[in-house]
Amino acid sequence: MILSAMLRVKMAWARPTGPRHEVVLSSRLRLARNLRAHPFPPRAPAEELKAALKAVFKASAAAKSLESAARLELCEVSEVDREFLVERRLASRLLISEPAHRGVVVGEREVLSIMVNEEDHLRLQGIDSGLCLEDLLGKVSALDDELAQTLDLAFHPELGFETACPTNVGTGLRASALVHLPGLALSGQVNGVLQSLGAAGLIARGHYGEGTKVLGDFYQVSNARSLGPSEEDLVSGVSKAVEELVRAESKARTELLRGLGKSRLEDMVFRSVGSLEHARLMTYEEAMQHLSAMRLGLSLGWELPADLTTVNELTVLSQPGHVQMLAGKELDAGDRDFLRATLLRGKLKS
Amino acid sequence: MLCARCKKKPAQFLIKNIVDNQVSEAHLCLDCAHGAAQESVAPALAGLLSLLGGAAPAPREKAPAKCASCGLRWTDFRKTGFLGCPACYDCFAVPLKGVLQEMQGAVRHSGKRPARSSADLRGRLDAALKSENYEEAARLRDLIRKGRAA
Ligand SMILES: [Zn+2]
Ligand SMILES: [Zn+2]
Repeated sequence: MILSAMLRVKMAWARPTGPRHEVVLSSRLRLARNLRAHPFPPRAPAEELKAALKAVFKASAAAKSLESAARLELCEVSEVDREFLVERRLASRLLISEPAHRGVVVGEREVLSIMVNEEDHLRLQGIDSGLCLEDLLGKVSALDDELAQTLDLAFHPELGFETACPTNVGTGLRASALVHLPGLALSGQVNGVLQSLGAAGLIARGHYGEGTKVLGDFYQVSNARSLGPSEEDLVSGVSKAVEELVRAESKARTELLRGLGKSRLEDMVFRSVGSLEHARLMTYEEAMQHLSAMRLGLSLGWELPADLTTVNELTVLSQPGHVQMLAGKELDAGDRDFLRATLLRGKLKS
Repeated sequence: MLCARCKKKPAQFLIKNIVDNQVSEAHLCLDCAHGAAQESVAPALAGLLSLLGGAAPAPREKAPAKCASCGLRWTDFRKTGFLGCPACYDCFAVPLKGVLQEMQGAVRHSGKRPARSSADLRGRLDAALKSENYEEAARLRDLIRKGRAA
């Protein structure tokens, strides 16, 4: 399979159609699973990893929910391709750091996928647009059931699904939502609000975080625990907290529009539009900052030179791996910034 | 050995962390390991590391020195936060229970079980009996019984 063909296919999670999409960009749900017969990947020798990869690929080929899925061995694709998979959220940095005997299975529109031999033998995941964790649990759990027909999964009668790290044991579930919180960030409330989530047993962190840098006011909220409550209860805990965040963010946005705040907000958004329309060189971080401002303007109903679909798409396409994929070759940072600025200008004019 | 990050405190953990989009392994002290887990690899791991680095529950006399199946020692686990194989959960059941209680606030799974058609299990049970693999047969019989109970 040629990965660049995936550039033309729109990922389901980037469409601005899901519930609460004005604040929630996407939801992601994963179930960690392991094969009973093999050591966990961090401790498995090459031949064990190889056997596990083969077994998972074979089982996934028989699964109805992964019909017409692509199966990729990471050592068989280029470094640019692997970077692309990470940006597409189909592979993790950890998975691509040692490509040998690692793989991904990618289902239709990239909703359902499997990472093979990351921390665990299988990481089943579902990603879609907006706040849709309950729906994703249904889909991923159905895939899990299908795979369990042919794979002997490691399951402990008391502790549940056995995982390499005990932080995932039990359900193996992590439910997360990618939320856009520019209103709370601008009004200085974001840290307080996120800290209060911690008290509720949730984890909130900046998105695409390299170090402590939060890109474009995007944050990720997920459950901290995996053992004890049922899958449904864990998911509803995250959903409820995210609904609460949506309310707080919407309120913050409305308040920012009052009085003097409105011209300040307009100034910020239209400066960003100006940069996206005219800049000749743009780093990924700067692009995310401007796209975040545009997203805020659009959610307030302002007339801007691109719609939410385009803005969402550009947040994905602006990533370094995607820019290189568009160029068809590896580029140094300066060339990437040039190509990115050109891409953004072109999309905003049309 | 000193911590690779702060170069002050003794290294206690072997942690994979992500720096400039590259995954690297480093020997870190508790504070730095906590920080690294917090910012990149897995925030949940940060809590586990604090637990293992602090007054960590040491294996009581009952726990074996290492996993009979994969050879992992409890000290290896304390260094990385990773177990070696599914059997580790049985070998280290006693000390793990303490860790799980602290970290997860629970020691009993109440969610789903692996879905497996009972016909398939029965087929495999027959095969195990035929090949005189009684250990496997007992395990499968157990699974079938639990499937019915669930
Ligand atoms: Zn240190
Ligand atoms: Zn073991």
